[in-house]
Amino acid sequence: MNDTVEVTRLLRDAQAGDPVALNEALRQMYDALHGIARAQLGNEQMERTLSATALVNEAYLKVFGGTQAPDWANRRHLLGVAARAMREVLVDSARRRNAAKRPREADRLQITEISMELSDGVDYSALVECLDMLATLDRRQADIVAMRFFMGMSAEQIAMALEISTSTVQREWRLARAWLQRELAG
Amino acid sequence: MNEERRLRYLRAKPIALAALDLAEAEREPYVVACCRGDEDMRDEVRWMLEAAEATVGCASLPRLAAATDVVGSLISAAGSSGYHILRRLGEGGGGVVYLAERTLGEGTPDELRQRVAIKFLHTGGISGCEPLRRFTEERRILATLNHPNIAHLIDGGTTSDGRSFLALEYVQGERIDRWCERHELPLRERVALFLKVCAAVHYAHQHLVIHRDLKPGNILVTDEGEPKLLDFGIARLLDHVGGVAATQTQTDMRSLTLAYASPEQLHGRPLGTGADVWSLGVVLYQLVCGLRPFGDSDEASPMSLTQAIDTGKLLPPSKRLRKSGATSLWHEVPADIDAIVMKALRRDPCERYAGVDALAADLQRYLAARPVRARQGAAWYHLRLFVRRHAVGASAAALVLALLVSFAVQRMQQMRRLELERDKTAAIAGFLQNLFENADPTHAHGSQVTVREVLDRGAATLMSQRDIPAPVRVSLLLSMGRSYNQLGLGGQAIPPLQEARKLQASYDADVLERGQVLAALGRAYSTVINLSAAIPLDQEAMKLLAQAPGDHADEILRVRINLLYNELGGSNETAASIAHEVRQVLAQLDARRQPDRELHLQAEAVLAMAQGAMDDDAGAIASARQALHEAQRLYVQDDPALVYYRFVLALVSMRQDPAGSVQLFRRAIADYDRQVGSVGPGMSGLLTYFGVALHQLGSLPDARDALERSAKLAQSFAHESPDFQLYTLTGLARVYMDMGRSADAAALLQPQLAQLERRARDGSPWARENRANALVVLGEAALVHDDAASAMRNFSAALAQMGTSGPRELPDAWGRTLAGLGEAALLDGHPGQAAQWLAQLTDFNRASKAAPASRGVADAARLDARLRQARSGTGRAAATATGQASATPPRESCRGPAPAAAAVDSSSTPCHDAPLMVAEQATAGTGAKH
Repeated sequence: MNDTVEVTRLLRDAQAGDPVALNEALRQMYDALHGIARAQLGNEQMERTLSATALVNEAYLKVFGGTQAPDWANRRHLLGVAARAMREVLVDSARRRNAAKRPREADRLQITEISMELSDGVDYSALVECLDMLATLDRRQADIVAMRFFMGMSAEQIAMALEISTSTVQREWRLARAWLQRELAG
Repeated sequence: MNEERRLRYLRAKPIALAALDLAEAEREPYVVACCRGDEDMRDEVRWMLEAAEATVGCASLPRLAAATDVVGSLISAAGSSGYHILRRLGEGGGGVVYLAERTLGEGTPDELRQRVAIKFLHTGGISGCEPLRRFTEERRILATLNHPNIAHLIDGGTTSDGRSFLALEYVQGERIDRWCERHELPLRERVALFLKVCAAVHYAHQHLVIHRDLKPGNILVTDEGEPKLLDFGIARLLDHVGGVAATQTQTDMRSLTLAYASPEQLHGRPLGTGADVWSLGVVLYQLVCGLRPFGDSDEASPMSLTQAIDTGKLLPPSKRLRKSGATSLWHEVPADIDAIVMKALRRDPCERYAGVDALAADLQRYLAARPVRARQGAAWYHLRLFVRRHAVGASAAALVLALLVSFAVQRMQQMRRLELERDKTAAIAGFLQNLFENADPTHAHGSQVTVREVLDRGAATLMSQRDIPAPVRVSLLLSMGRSYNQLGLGGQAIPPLQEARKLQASYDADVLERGQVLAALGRAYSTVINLSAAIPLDQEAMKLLAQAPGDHADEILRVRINLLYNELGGSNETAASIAHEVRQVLAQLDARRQPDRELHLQAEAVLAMAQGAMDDDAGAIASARQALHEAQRLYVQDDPALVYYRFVLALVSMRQDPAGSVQLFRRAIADYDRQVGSVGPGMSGLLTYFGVALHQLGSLPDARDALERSAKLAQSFAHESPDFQLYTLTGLARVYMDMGRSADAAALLQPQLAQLERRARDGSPWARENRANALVVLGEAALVHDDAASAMRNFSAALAQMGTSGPRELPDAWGRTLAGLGEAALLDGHPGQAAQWLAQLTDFNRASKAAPASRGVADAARLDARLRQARSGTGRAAATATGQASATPPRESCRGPAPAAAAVDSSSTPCHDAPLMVAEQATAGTGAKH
């Protein structure tokens, strides 16, 4: 399955609404992200923080081959999948950590761009639930949140990827954030 | 989420988005029209508009735990103390505030319940080592604010579930404006009350802390009528917690209360003391006329309020009062007060009062009916040049620099009185400009330039900048030196302070400033454990401070405590006389109405060590516990100061509770490592005394590890602190000896002989003792290798070094020297001489009432046995036995009154970094009691 053409086809199908293809694409991206994150965090010598962007880029390279970082503007179809996979990885790691009686430092995943938003105290299941809800309510807002939270993309990058203005991104981001805050505060 | 809410959100969004494209004034009518009387919908749209426009705060999701109600729960910090949350007090200043109760020493007779205000911060936990250290460093500066009118920062850190919090002194009081109204306070009394506020703010400014959010809500008046300032420096602290989020959203406004914010604050420019002067101006305005200058009625929205502060017309209080037609207690506000308020409220910070003290001075003049400066026109406005030039982003660096600017400006004013030429102004401006350019975030790591980095740059620049007039350089150097000391970086403080001292000789520096420079220098030397250098500086500083006009009682006392501490280790003063003096200091402090708590506990710690040195274990432990107890109330939980007090307790409790003491040591070292880092004199000091203590307990490998680590560290500051390095090396050599590694011991000390001699020749008792001990080790090592000549040479030198006071002052080294000389004589084939040394040793043991199991008695017995054997013709076997005997360590081998190597910071932060002391002295006699 490491054939690039195959993965691209998969993604296209997924984008078109094929749930099996989506699952498979997600699984591959997830495996790649998880593998890289584990490897990095398992290395005692390394800094225990990762860059979300770097992580996603590396996973992309692993799944799609090549040597170039993805140009998100031309790879929109990938973004959603990557962000979703990244989210799974983070949530997964946070859950494990929260569930452990005595969390080990090594289990801690620190992602530089987004650690402020997603720190240990956040209730992940509630967050994921809210995000899913937001996605049914306003797809674009949910995409923006995902790109920002889980991939650490800047407003400019998101604007380029979604072909909207930066100010729209910012506006939507603030609305979405306020909405999430309201929902989480319940 | 129910369908109704869902639909409402979906319908509200297009309305909100359309409204956002309209001009501010048109929005509300549009929204009202669109919602057609549906109030819920209108609220939803308004909520969205607010959210979309929010440039402030909440860059992150709310932490769920903070969103839920925590009342009634028990919060425990990562450290030890727990807080019981009682009720919610309010929200503001970047977090929710709860009233909580902390219990200290639970279950013990001196159990203490303390009410505190706990503030949970609206941010993620602090992750990563660097931010944590920076946060700790900032908090440490805040914790040094110790003023009766400032609510003290008690604790802070991260709870065990990862939330950041601060614990502050809980103040029961009423907002200053309401309090004044309720008591119908006359104008003059309001001014007098306000002056107390000014004094507190000025105090903080001198400690490099600005408030940034002064407003009546942060100034409470207690039932006793004393004002208390809350949240000092919290805004700045939040910058550090905010970390990534703050820089990403480019906002620093957070929870700023707009009505009291200065124009420079609204624009996100670097802030100096001028920002607090402005806010105080607004508060004063309100106190004298009952109305706020901005935002009382006309400018309701943030936008119009910002405009009003920035460019709007500002009426003097008297006119505002008349215009509003409000009935007031006074018919009018005096013109002097008008002038003072307006001068504090100049939009250009350079045109305002140069500092809060200047504002206060003018108010004093008003009360004393003397002409106020504010009405004399502005003579030095061209100094705005200073502030204009630093267009670097607002960061910790900019803050410190802005403070330095205001020091420089004040200094310039004094200099203008001295009629110094104008081009010197330009010179300072150039210096500051240089600093700002160097503070370019791209050169350092990110925008978070630390105070430390700015200080390093500033000091380096100031040292070489010759074109700034000497008096200005001196005051800048002094501020920097003190800041270094406060951060426990004595080694860094020494060069700038020495430079300041040198410069002072070039002009007619006043007595006070000379005393202050010397005091700071003395403290710097203490922190790098160079006691003999610190002592004369302290003495001279005390003399000068006493001569200086004005009341400097606290400052003098601080130096005196530092001096006593240094003397404990670096002079011939007896522990008893030092203890006596410390008790006097404590009595003096206790007699005051509001004693400086920090001074009190520092004195308590010195007392503990003096008592330890006098073999008064019970007294020493009680004093050390008391000091630690007081320190826990005064300092935040992970303040390195606590490490020092734990260390003191560990030292004095070694004899009574060796295992507990080792545990305390371990904890102190781990804490220090985490909070400050594992390099520098502080860590080295901890390790050396820990190693010596372990040696006495007989854990040789652990002792060796600690001392080897420390020796490595001590090398880096050996230049500032030679005696400490030699002490560490000698201690390590003794451990090697007891491990049977006599060759290593000799190899370690042999290269130091010249330095040992140099130090001993003109040095302190500590230096002389180091040499005596080193010579004894070398002599004993020579005996192991059957080198009678070398042994004889070293022991004889040791004997000469100790001189006639040896038996009294260094009984351990003395006894070992006598025994060693006997062994050497025997080895050399002179049993007659050996017998003479044995006789001396026996006399000495008797005179010093050595216990039967002590080292001296054992040595004598062994020598006696071997002497008999030698005389009966089995000399060779005896010599071999000697070697074996030397290699087996008697446990009490360390007995000996090593000097107190004390390094207390008795200025504002007590010796976090060189928490050392009299390890041996405190534990002297261990052997005798075993």
